[in-house]
Amino acid sequence: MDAREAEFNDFVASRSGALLRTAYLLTGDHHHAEDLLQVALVEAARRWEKLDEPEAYVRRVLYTRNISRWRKRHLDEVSLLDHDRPASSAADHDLRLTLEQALARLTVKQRTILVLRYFEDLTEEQTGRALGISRGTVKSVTRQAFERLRTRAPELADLIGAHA
Amino acid sequence: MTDLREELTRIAERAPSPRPYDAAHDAWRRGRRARRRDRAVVLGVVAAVLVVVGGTASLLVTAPTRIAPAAPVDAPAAVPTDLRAVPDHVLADPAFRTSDLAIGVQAAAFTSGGLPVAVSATDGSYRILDLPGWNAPGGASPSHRVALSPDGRQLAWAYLDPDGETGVRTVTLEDGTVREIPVVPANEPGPQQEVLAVTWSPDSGWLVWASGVIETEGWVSHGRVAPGSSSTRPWPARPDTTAVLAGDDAVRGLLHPGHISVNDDEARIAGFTIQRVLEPTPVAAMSPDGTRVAVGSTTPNGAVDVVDLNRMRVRLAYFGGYDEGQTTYAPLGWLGADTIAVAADVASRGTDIVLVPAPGNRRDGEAVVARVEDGVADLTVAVDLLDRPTVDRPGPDWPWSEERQRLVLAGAGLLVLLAVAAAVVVRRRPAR
Repeated sequence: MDAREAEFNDFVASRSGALLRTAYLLTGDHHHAEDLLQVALVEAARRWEKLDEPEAYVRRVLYTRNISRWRKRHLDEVSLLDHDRPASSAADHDLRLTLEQALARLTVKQRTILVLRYFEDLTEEQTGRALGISRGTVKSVTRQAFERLRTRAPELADLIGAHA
Repeated sequence: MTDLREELTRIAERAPSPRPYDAAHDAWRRGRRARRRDRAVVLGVVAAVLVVVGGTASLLVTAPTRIAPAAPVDAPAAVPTDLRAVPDHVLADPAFRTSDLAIGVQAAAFTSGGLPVAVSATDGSYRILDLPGWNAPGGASPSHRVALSPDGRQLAWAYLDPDGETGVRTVTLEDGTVREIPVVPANEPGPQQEVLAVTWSPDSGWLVWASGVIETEGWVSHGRVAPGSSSTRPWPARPDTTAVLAGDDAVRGLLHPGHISVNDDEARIAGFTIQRVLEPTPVAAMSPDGTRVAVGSTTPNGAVDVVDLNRMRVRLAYFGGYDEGQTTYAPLGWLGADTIAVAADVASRGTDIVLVPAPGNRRDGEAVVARVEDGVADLTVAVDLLDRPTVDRPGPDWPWSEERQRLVLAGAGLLVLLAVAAAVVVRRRPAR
């Protein structure tokens, strides 16, 4: 194992947990999240010498590959949550599950933008740059996403009211 | 009110636990393999682009600036099996014309696009000649505007200088020496005469010319030029003359529709009405002994008319395979007393140079020895060189036309774009 591989391994060991959480939010599925992260890590290994900020690069790959993968495979937007959901008493998790279910009914693009804006805390400008779209598009897709959430899950009105 | 970020964070906590080492090891291995593939693709594309760009540049930059020799220059003199027309874009470019007339023995001379062209007997190269006073007169179609001697060592052509002087110039191709034989002096009153026909005697020594004013008076005069002489005496010519004849011993002759007359300077040797000749072409060739004349014609019977001046009769030199439709026979000269070289132009399939047995001599039958491309006009051939086999020379390396250069550049550009696009696609493709 050479120094670069060791460096890469250290990066994966230290950051893969956080990255996997983002991947999970983006995909809503354990297996897809692992696959997506693996693809992003391979791309990072491919260009390791040139990466000044590996994590930023991996995250960008996560965002863009998630959208393009969905486009290519025409993945069904119907969530696999039923298969992945662990057994839970869940009474106090109603809101979370409702949000998770509602997110699963968004388009990949809408979900990705919500994750970037409200989980990764990126600005509209940064989100647009990460996805290669304009700030205006970010804004309009965000608005559409909230409208859909409001329609599909009226009980989330309080949650999204402050942001919509 | 629950914050959206907090809810998202809680959902994210449900993500599976990472599998650090295996995942990292596998990702690293696949990533590095993809990196090696990227490098190979980039190297391949760079090499391909260099090859395309370099090849295109060398094709364009090293395109011949002259029509290069197509065979070793020390090859034995011979007539090529194919005589080709010169492309228009080459004819149009003065850079491809040469005024250096010391070009050695030539196998053929003709006009292409109105310009004189010579084909070397030793290397097969083509030269567009910048002949002094070269003039391609308008009007009727004179025979042999540029006439190569039967031995391929001299060239003759009609000249018309700006001051109105007209005559015949010859060049000795070994050293480029030009001889001038004025026919009509400068500033002569009356309509401008032009030399309309020049031909060599079978021994390449004598010249016979004819001049006239085609539009108004027809042919006016003709004369002969002794070997090496720069003077000539004009004799009258019938206005309806179509071709001139030259014999080895100061014999000169004129061909008219249905009639031939042969004279020396002292007397008329022969006059003969040719009943059979329907449409004489402006080409005729006298045998070396001066007794027979092969007359060009357009006939459907696959034969050349040969006038026997001693017996005052016409015999036919038959040859097969050229009796399909309209065929024009243009005698190019005689090989000794037995064989006539004829350019047989079959409307349906182009022109062949054919060696035809003279009447009464059927030893070998006819033989096709060369082919002539469309666009070759007023062809004369070094007939003496036809006593040996014609040779297959590589085609002339014509420089490219601008249109072709543009097409090649566009093609090369497209290839480069495709190569770069392929590289980009491969590099952007996710690693497997």
